[in-house]
Amino acid sequence: MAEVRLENVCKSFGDVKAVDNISLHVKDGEFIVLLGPSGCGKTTTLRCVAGLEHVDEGKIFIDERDVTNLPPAQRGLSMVFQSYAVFPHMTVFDNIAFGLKLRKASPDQIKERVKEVASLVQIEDLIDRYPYQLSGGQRQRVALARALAVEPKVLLLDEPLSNLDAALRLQMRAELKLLQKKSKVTTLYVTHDQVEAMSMGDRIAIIRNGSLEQVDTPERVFNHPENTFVGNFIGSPPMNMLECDVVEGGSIAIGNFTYKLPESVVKAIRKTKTSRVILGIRPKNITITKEKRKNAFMAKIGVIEPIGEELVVNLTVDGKLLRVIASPSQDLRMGEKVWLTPDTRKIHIFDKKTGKNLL
Amino acid sequence: MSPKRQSLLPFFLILPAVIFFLIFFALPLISGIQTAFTTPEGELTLANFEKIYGKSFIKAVFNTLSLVAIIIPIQLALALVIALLVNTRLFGTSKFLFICAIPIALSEIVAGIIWLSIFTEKGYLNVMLHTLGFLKQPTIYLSYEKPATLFMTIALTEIWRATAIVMLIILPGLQMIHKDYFDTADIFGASRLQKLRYVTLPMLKPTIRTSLIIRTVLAFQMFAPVLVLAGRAFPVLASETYRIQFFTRNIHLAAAYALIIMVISTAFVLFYMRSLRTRWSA
Amino acid sequence: MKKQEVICYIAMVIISLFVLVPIILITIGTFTPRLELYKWPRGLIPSRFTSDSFISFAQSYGVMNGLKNSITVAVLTVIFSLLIGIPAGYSLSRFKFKGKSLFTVGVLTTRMFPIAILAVPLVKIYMGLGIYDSILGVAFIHTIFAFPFAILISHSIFASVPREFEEVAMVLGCSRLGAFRRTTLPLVAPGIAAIAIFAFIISWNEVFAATLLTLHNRTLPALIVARLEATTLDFLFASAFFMLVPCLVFIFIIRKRLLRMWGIILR
Ligand SMILES: Nc1ncnc2c1ncn2[C@@H]1O[C@H](COP(=O)(O)OP(=O)(O)O)[C@@H](O)[C@H]1O
Ligand SMILES: [Mg+2]
Repeated sequence: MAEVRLENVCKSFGDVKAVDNISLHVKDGEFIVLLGPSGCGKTTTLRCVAGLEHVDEGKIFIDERDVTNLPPAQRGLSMVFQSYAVFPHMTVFDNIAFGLKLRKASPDQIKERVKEVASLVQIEDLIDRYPYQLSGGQRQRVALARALAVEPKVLLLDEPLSNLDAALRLQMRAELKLLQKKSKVTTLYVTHDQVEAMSMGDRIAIIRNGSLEQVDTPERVFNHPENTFVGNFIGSPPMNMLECDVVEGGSIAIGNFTYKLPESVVKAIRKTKTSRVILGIRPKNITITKEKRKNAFMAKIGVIEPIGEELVVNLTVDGKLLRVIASPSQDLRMGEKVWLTPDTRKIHIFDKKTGKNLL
Repeated sequence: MSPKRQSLLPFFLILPAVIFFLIFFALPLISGIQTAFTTPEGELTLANFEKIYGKSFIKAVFNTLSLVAIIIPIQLALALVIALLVNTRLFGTSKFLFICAIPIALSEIVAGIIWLSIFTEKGYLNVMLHTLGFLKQPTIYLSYEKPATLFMTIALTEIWRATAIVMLIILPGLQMIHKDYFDTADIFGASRLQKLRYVTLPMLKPTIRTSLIIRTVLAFQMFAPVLVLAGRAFPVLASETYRIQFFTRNIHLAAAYALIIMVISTAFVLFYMRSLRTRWSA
Repeated sequence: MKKQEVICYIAMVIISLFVLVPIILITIGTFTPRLELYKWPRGLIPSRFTSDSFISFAQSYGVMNGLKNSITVAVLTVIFSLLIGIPAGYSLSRFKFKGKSLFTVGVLTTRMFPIAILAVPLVKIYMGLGIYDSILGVAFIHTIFAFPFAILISHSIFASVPREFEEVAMVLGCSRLGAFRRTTLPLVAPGIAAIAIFAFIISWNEVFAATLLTLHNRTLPALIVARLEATTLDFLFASAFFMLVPCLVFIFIIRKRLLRMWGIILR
């Protein structure tokens, strides 16, 4: 088992900075998820760790050993690719045994170990088949078994579930997580799906344009986004972002209304001396009422989208769009004017200029 | 592996190809041009071109161009028909495809001899006509006195031999056209012919261009069927080049001839590139 | 069957006959007694089948030597084309590098020239190099015909094998070369065999350059051209049949790949 440390890693392709000064410390046995929109450099980061890409700058350590200039084979890790890359010319057995053979294990050892991992991922019955005789989900298990067979110190997974259908994805998500907890192998897991990231990761590393935006537990990432990007990227529907001016007396202006902020928030804003902020509030944390309340502001209801047991209500405030999750029992109508009360404990205030969370 | 070594690897791998290309393609091209414009003593001259210009040269140019003009449209049409038939995916089309592809493996000279066995005086054409009672004495087709017949037999031989080349370029192009386009046309009620006219042919344009270029270029170096079927009676550019090289032993004249072939064929390539341009693909 | 299908089948039969009948006829001609070829009237089917023409062709002066030359030239062409084409095709499919598109354009331009015609200036160059009238010289120009195909086809074959295969192997403990040998190579082997056959056929059939670049060391096609004016029908028929058979066998072997390989030339 091992730690992985990236120090100021940079990697460019021509003019594209795919990885831009990333430093990350993955702890022993940790399941860390690299999350970000597609094209942000997740795969490249993973390939740098694997040694498939040579970093332009920075260093990579595995267990205090500087592996920056080592070829992939000498880093003691395994990788599962998005396309699985299960060799079509080998049976399932030979696929899983591939790494063991290269390590010159004895035939008996190989047989035993292959059986072990095959049963771990539940493909014992498929051992003599060729990949073309397998479904997508089964191939994915073969790829996983092949990676685990060599007992890697670090496991790298690049969007391993993205080619599966929705039901299988859910099932594999749970299985993978369980497998990782059992084997305690340090895991770097790449995905662009925030729900997957939230449900699987011990910690989530959010990447944008090749840079780390925040590295934290799922709970922290959700409740304490460090900036507007993270706030926006995590959660569905995304966090509402309202640009407001700071006015005298510890309030902010939302259209014609003033919204009074709690004292702690006001203090934080004062410290930065900024005059324009962004109010961030999740759709769940706003209450809609038909009658006026204290410290509420008025909005006009637009489209209402039912999503199962709840409604996503689109509203406009001062010409800006807001989304609120409400209950169908409230009998809301399109075009109606209503009052919105944000949960003061759950608001976020970001600096307009830097996008940083001020709280 | 060090980054330096990795970055040189791709160049290292193409190096043999580049060297080979320079020595055996670029060098003879340049040397050919130089030879065509010099005397054996090495002086610059246009005399080589003046010397080859004459009755037989004009005949060779005329014959070659008429062959191109007749063979290529017929081959293109026939290749399209074969490709469309294969694409119906009826039972047996894969065998049909294989049969149609056979001539691609045959040498020019083999094709020439095969059709010689049919058109020669006591060949299979006359034998069949005789058996069916159409004629008593054999007709002579391959004669100096019948240039039109010679032309037709050579054209037929080339159509038989080289349609496969065109077909095997067109068919993959046809199969690359996504089924959705045809379905869309169906939704709008297009007939078979309308689909051919408005979907298939326009989308095949880049493919057709490629096949025309490859086929035309090959037509300019065609010479074995001509030698087998007509001997000297039907000069074309390539056979004249061969004759000059072998019988006058004057490499400067032959080079001038070769250069002319290059120029004409390049002109054709450029013409195809310009006239069959599409705005939606390279 | 629908009316349209009937029409399609009729067209397929007619076209198939157009292709096959001449091949059947030359086969009959080859095994017809020599004198019957010149008789009139004569029937389509000979009085008896004999391999006399065939044997006398095989025994006539220079044929065995020509056969040996043809095979040597073709084998050399295959080796050269693979040695040049495979690394280049691999490089194109796996790396981005400066000059890649220039290189590809260069490879493609060779298709836009009647390459055989290059044999004329090559006569002079070969004389300078001392390889005029040599097996090697002919193999070189045949390689010029074949190697662009070898590059384009192997490029696409390699591109069809995901690079992840090699990467997985490298992660699991292979060197770069080892990863290629254990994953990509076995997958591309049939495709490479097809390229080899293709190069062989190109060389085996080529007439013009072989005729111009040799005097004594003639390949079979060049030999036949040289004998054209002073030979008999039976010699010609037998020679055509003899040249035809290996090609038919080869095209049968690669029939499944034909379409894919030619499709590649489009790009
Ligand atoms: N081999 C490569 N050559 C050139 N650009 C690349 C290469 N690999 C990735 N890129 C570029 O680097 C950026 C990051 O890519 P990637 O790491 O694959 O993103 P992600 O996996 O997050 O979707 C993208 O802009 C991509 O186009
Ligand atoms: Mg990716």
